[in-house]
Amino acid sequence: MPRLIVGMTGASGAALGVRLLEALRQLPDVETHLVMSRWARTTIELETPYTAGEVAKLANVTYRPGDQAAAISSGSFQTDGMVVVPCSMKTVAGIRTGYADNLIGRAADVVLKERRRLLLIPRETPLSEIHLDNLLALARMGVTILPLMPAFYNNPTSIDDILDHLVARVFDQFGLPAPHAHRWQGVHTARTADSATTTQSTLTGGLGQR
Amino acid sequence: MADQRNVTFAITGAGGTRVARYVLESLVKDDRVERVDLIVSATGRKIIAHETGLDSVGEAVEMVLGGPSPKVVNWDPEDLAGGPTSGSYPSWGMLVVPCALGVVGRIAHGTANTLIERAADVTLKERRPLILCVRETPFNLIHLRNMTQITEAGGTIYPVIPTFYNLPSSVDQVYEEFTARLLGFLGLPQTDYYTYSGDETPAHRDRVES
Repeated sequence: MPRLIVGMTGASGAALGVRLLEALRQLPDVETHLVMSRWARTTIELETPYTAGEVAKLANVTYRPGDQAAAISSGSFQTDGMVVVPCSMKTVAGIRTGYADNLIGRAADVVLKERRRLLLIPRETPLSEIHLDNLLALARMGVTILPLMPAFYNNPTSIDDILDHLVARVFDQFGLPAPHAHRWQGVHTARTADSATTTQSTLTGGLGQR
Repeated sequence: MADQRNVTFAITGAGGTRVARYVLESLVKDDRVERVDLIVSATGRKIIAHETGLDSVGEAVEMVLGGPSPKVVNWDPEDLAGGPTSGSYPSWGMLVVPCALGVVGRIAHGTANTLIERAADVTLKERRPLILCVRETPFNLIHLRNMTQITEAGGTIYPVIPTFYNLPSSVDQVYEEFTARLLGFLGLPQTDYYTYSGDETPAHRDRVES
């Protein structure tokens, strides 16, 4: 059974974290372990129609960010990796330097030492030299940096389309099935596909339906 | 007006040419901008054609804006002797929207094989603002190293990443907001964009009021 750690931190883009949790919930085989930082809770309440408590219920297990004794603090607790979404630049800096001052930083540290997959979804623009240097160092350690950047080849017509596409790309990173993902296959194929089908909302109903 | 500026504007082969159109429209209608030197790469043309359904032949400005503009000067990207190839040619700075990661790599290494990379090279040597709106996710190690190098050389990496704290309700709104922020960054502040204040978002207000 795939077991994923999901960290949510205080960058803008909480909607993607919520959307990812909703989509993972549709996969009965996947077990999710969630940690929301203090500022993630604030951002969730500012940017989405959910309360942090409602988001916590989307995961199989939720930990408090100060709970350094949680299962995911130890490499002996096996996981398939971790995604931090959205990932603040403070968290990027903390992970890069091994400064595990909360459970998100500690869990990421463990994922790295155990050579498991770590995926960070920063939402920041423009990027300073500090940001880029930290992201580069992490990429050198094998971390996947997947900025929260919309694609265009899927012809998004709504914010949900943008988020669903990114969720599918996150699924791709963990080898999870995303059968409805819109995939670029060259200009000619894209033209034909666009005229033949309409863009489908791929995953579960979520923010856009509220 | 003495303080009007000339802006060099390049469009390269990445998704998001719709954003390029928003930015170019904003520059053209801004009284603070005297002239825009437009350079569209060959792949940029193909992607504009794909994303707009238009033909990929004709003047670049007409492809992007749908018609000519007296403020826009078209340059052939293959014309390495074009005006922007020299630091003596008046330019306030250069924007690349969207910026393909191959272009980032060539700029990072001074490989001036088209007028776009040469103009960027000149912009850096003249210590003028160079802003690259990359559209790519995830980033690999090479992307991050090249972007770090350009930042060290004085350029700015400005990924096409939306903000969520303004609670965008449509894709167009995402890119209008991005454009306004980008122009503000260039020193052309716009009046109609959302400024984060800490607590005032529609979702938050709805919850407080209900």
